[in-house]
Amino acid sequence: MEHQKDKLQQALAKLPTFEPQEDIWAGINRVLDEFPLQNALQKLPFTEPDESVWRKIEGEIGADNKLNLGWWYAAAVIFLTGFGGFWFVKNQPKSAVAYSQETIDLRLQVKNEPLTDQQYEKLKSYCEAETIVCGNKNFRRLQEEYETLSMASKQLQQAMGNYNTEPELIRQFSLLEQEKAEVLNEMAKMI
Amino acid sequence: MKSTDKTRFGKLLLFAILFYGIASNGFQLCRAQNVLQVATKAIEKTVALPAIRTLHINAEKADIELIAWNKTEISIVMELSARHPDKATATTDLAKIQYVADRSGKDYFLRNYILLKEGESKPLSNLKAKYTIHLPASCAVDLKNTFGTIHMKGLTNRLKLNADFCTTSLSNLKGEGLLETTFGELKGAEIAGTFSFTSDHTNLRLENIGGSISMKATYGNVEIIPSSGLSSLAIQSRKALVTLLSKNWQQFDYDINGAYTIMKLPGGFKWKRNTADFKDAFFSKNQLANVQIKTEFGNLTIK
Repeated sequence: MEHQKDKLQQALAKLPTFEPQEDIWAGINRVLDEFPLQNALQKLPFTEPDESVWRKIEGEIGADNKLNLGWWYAAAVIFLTGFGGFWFVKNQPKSAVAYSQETIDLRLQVKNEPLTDQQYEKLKSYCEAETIVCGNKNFRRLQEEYETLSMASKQLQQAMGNYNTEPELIRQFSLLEQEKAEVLNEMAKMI
Repeated sequence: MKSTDKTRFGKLLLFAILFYGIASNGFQLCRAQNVLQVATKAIEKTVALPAIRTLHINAEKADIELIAWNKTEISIVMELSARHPDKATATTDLAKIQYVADRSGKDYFLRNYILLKEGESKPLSNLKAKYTIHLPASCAVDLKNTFGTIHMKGLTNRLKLNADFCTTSLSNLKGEGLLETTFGELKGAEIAGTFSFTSDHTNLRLENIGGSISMKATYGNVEIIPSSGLSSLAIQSRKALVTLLSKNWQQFDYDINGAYTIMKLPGGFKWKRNTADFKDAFFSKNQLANVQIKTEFGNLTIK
């Protein structure tokens, strides 16, 4: 028996030996470690939170941030457009445009409808009732003359616009008004 | 920094930026009340040989200065401008003024006009053009302008002028001219040649005018002071106030026909007809120069 035991041991010793690779041990280790965890996880209770909870959380995070972001966007837009506008004006391709300033002279502006036209309207309304004088050839000639002057005066006013700077145009305008007044006086004398 | 401090700082910064934006705009608006922002564009050209025969100018609301000089070239400075309390409006309106400055053979064309592109609104600004031109005296000129001023000096060739609502002054002109004015005012001094004036509602004053002059005047004041170099003067007037002034009225022969005209003639005229409405008179000493005046309504004074 003893002899056979020795023989066996010798034979065993003669067998080729193999060392398993490192990762095989690591693989076995991993499976062994995970097994109790997976086992425990399956035993854990499973609950789903209510919809309202989510909404509440969302509301608390969002509201404040959203409001602030809006204002910040507005500020950024104002700042950028302001800066962009400044840059645009400074760097316009038409560098030939030069800028200066002038003071508006209110004496060169005509705002109101001339008094002569108001008076002329009165005469015209009078003519609607009184036809003998107003049908008169001379009266009609004067009326035509007045209309011509009035048209010219309106053209001048249009040319002067809202920001007139030409004293010459105002001088012409007042001359026309004077002529209109003379024609009106002649018409009035006939009535 | 605590988070509340952080948000406070953020808000402060934010409002500072917003306030700056609003305040700077407000400030500009306040200033805009009585200040006009003037945007100006200048175009400069020198037109050299071959010489230009005729310079054509078609202007609107322009101040035009045409001065003859000794050089053979034409120098042109055209300034286009827009005035408005708001600078941006002045700038965009300025872009609506277009101009032409082109040579075509022996003609040169200058023009300023308003061009609105599709969707563009009418300009709100006061728009103006200014031409400063120096040219050889022998260059002919064909000029149109409205609502502006014209100043012309020293030209000796053909001149064509159309001026509506313009204040025009001409001096030292020779050659021939066709001048038409509607409203406005025309003053001329030292003019000699063949000139024809047509005016409507224009106040005219021609001083030291000689050569062969014809005039059609409707309304307006017409004042003529002829020079001794006058060879003929023909005036046709309707409803105008015509005055002829000379140092010695007897140096010319006169032929006068007036209908419904208030006349003041010096003693020495002979009457062909002298009724309340019709007055025909003449004065003849076989002078070289002849004055013919036909009037309808209005006044005529010879001194």
